[in-house]
Amino acid sequence: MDKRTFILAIIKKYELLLASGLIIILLIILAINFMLPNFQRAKLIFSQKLTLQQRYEKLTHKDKALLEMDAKFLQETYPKISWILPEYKDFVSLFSAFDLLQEKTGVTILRTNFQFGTISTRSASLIRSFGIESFTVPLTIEVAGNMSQLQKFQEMVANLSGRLIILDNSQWTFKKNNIAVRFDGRAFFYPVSAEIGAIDSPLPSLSKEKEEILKKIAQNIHIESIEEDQKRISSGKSNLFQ
Amino acid sequence: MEKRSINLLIQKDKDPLILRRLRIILPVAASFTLLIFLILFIISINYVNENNAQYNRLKVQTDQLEKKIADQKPTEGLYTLTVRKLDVLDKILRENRNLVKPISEIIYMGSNLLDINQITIESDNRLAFSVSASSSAALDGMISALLVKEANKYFSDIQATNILRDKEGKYNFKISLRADANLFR
Repeated sequence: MDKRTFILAIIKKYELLLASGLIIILLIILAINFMLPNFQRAKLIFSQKLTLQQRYEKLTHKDKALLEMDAKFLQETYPKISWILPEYKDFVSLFSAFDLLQEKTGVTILRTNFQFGTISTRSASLIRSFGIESFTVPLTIEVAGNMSQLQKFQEMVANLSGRLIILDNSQWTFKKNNIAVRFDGRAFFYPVSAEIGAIDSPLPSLSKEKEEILKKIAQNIHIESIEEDQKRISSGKSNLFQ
Repeated sequence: MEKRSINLLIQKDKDPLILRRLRIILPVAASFTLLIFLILFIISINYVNENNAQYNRLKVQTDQLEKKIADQKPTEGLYTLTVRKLDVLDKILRENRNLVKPISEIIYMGSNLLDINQITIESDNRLAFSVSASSSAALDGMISALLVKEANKYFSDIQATNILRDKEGKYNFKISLRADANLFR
């Protein structure tokens, strides 16, 4: 028997086993080369889909919030907020605030002293680190009046109806008919950057306290009175750099 | 003539047991593997296609939503600025103190026989004032009133210094005390 015949005889004898083994090996090779990459691709697409799904949910949430927003109310209220907390030191609104305080409370403002410090451009202001202390105008006010007028004065400086002033220290001198008080306080300004975050960045939340402040400002300040005040006080530039 | 039979066929060797078992198991295993392969392959293709389609649909929806949000950028900007400023205002208002209330507590405490000239309020809620009492009874009255206020937790850490009696018989002294933080609200 020659060698070829012998091999053919062996193949013939084990053909079933060989064919089965070959199929299994072939399937393993096919699985490694075609099926496994398919699963890897599926896994990749799935994870990308998941990321996209999260982004979509964020966007849906943001879109819903934006749709619920009262753009007109914001447009009307923002100038009012800026009147209370301007973007620069704005001494004109401070003088106007004192005029208004005098008019509405009945106290007599004897002297005012502001420490304007450095007056900077908007970009220079923005470089400063965040913190209320970075954006204050220290001031001293001397007023005279009776107790109820002074009480009104104290209430009005921080009742969000004009430029916000916080009174820190005070010296009360009691005279025969009236009281003279020297208040050391702070007015504030806050330069804000017009930049907003990425398109899928969440909107900052408006807590109940902030909502209350917003409502109060919207109620207390009338645009007409701001415009009137700006006309009434003739001055040069309110900001050297503008 | 006698008939003789000769067996010309070679006796077939019996295959080993393992080979006999493999002859049964391997074809079954191959068929099963083929079936599983086909099923998994079809599933994987379907899964990829389905996920791909879903991803593309989601991508289109996301792009549309992004465009919609981008169109509302002015409102978003205004809202963001408003919230930032409100945040600062909230912080500032938390520092606000009513300086009139503690003053009222002091000036309405004394009788006509007491003369309070000057009151100073410092940022650490400390108050200092100078008093002139026309008699020792008025002085006692003032001290008693202060003790009541201390008992009611309005004032604490009360100190009286520089007590002097002038030529007219008036008692002059300085009082320093710490007012309760609630009094400034």
